[in-house]
Amino acid sequence: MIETKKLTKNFGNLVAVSDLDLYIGAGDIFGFIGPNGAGKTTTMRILVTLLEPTSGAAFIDGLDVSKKGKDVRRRVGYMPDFMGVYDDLKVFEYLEFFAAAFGIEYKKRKAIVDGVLELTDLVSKRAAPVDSLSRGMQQRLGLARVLIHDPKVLVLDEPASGLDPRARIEMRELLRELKRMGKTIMISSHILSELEEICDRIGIIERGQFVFSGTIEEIRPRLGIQSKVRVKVVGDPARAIELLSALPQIQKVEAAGDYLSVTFCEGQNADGVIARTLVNAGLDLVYLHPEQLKLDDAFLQLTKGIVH
Amino acid sequence: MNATSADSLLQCLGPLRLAGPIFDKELRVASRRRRLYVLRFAYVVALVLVVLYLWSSLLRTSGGAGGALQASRLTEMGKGIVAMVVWFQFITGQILAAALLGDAINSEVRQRTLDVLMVTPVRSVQIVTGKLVSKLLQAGSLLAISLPILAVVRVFGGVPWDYLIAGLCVTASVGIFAGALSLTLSISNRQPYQAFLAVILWNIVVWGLLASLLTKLSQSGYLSGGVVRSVLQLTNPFILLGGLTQGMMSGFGGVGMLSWLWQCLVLLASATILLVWSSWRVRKITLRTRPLRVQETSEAIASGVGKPRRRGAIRPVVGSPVAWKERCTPLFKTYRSALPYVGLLLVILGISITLSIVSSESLGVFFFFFAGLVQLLFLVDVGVAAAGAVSREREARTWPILLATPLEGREIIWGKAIGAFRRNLPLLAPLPVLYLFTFIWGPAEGRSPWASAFAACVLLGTLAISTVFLLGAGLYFSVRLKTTTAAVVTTLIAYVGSKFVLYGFVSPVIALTAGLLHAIGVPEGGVMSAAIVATGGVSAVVYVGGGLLFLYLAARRVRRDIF
Repeated sequence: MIETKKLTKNFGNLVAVSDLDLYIGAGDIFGFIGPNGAGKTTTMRILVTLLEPTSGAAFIDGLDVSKKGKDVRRRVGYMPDFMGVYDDLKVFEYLEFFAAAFGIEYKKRKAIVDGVLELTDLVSKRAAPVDSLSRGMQQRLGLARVLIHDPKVLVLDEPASGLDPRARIEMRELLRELKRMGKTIMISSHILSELEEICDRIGIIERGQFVFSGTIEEIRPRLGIQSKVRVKVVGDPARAIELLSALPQIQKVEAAGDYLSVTFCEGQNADGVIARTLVNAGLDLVYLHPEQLKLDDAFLQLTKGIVH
Repeated sequence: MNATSADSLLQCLGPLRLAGPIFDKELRVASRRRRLYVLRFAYVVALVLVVLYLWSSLLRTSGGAGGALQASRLTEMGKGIVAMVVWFQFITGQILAAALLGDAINSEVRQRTLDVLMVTPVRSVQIVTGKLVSKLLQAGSLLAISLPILAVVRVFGGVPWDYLIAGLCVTASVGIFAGALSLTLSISNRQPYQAFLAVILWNIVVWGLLASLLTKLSQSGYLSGGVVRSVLQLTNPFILLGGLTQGMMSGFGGVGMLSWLWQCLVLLASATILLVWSSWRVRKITLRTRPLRVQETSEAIASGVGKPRRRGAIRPVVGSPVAWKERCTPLFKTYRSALPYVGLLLVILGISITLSIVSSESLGVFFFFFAGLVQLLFLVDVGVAAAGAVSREREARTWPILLATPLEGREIIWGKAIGAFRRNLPLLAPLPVLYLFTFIWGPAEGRSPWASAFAACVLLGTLAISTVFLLGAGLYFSVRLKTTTAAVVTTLIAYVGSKFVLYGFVSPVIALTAGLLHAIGVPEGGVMSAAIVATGGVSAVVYVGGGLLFLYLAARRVRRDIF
């Protein structure tokens, strides 16, 4: 549904995006992650026809964004990182304005606007002036706006930025609902844990190039990270360390507060062996849990925080 | 008093202490802005053109004479050039001060840096003074460019020192006053051009119309001539400088030293009052724009306790969405914001009626004068609305959202043009009535109904072609330039500049051609009619053609330089 081939964008001597190859299938949610100035917003702007690429090509639903701009815009809903609003309009008028801009027939507009208001839970704000809405409400309105023409693809540039925790959770639920509706979503965010929960695939970009693209599960081997478990025993932790360190499947055992952090050798996963060894030695095992690789950790390991 | 406390006292009393760190920051930033260098270049070019024009015209008036005669007229030429340069500085000093200080406070509000400043130990008086002094220094450095010309020309002789000193002092004090006024207005106006235009309007109304009214009243015997002359010389810098120049040119001396010193003091005292008031207002405006406001309003609406700011039915989107959106933008946001403009119109109306009565002119002259002012306001606002149509969206960051829709560039530009025109219909509506009154009550001598109808057509035609040009130029510069103020100023300069080109270059060529035709035997009446038609035709072609060309270029550029 979304594809880029050797996409490059230069601003004078600055290379914002460099030979970027990207593919997002229909119905996927793709998380776009990177430090500030990495080229996320530039890539998104090219995809929604607001910027011309210097070289390479980008396609939405098989249409070249440089050649079929108008058709691409009909298929894409774009929400920028900072969304301005028209301060002279009310919520309904604002949405109807964009419905008209997308060429929706006058007779159908009311039903469509009411539909997106309901979907985004803004019905109570129907007659409120747009500029009187809180930040969270304005973000919801932005989402309502991008849905007004029922696009196949949504390009959302940091839609959760500046929102309070409740609004963020609501936004996440809304995105899940949109996924259920079959939309293809490309979303950038700095709140990495949120992307982890809703994205099918992620792409980590730095200096205009992907340093990783794939599923969350694919990151671990890519980083050469071995599996880890956290263990807690009651009694003699020093003995537990001694016993576990002697196991051939285990590379390292470290004390971490009340817990033990156990790192397996590459390709090994021996939770059962750990439990058996400790119980047979007469130690009381009270906690055994595999450690998850957080997206934040992967982000820190993959990127160096270098910006243009 | 020991050395340390003496140092502290001196530091407190130092002029830079009054301006605070804002002064330092403003100077630092100014040198990095391209605008300052553009201004310097434009100022030098304008000064050179003015001096060359004056020099050539003075040579022309003494043309054909021998070297001896020219040498005898050097003194007169020197006086003329000095007077011209002093007046040039006087006018440009005010324009520069108003332009540079038009964004003094509103830029801080827009960038949300005013709140940050107000929570530092920097006092509001330091913010205001720092802004004023730093910008006036920039304006002063520009004016200083012309000082060598004055010094060199004075060598020709005949120009007294006291004229130069008085001229420079009046220029400096009127510049400070214009800057302080612009700064004060920049607190309540969101866009810098609004403050700038308001200062220009002040000059026209207070120092132009009000002075004319007082003069007419004194000429008609309603007021004492001596009193009016004294009051005007003490309060009106234009009249004062006019008197000084007249005295210098005639060689008999005009205005006494006491008068210009007194006027400088009056202007400086007025500027100080404005600054004190501005310091108080700056803190008020910071409190008013605190970030909680939006949240509070939103919560008030949600709970139904407060009243929404804009009530009324939801308006359906009919026709072009862009034109509809432009129409939704009211001429004035609130009734309160409309009050100063309505008040100003009423003042102009009152002055016009009084002028008409005391000067025993026909009522038609008054209506013609008032219609002219309304027409001018309409044209300026059409230009401003068109120039802000795109740049305001860019500033509000709604432009990329609009461009992410399938609307074509020409649809957007056409919608914006229609919207900018329709928004100003309230100003256009009374014009036909005012012109009708002009023809009904105007001087009837030698005028047929056909002549009146022709004059009406000419007026409406002029209005139409100017409107097309301003809409086109405004939208083009709005698409092309980053800020609304840059777009507005460029549009108005383009319009005024086109007038100079037409009446300074094209009209003389037509007049010359007409003279040649008459010389080869074509009757004078026919030649004159042809010249008038040709001038009108060229104007129409230039304005309509230029306006349409600008519209076409704007539509082509819509999707370039979006951010």
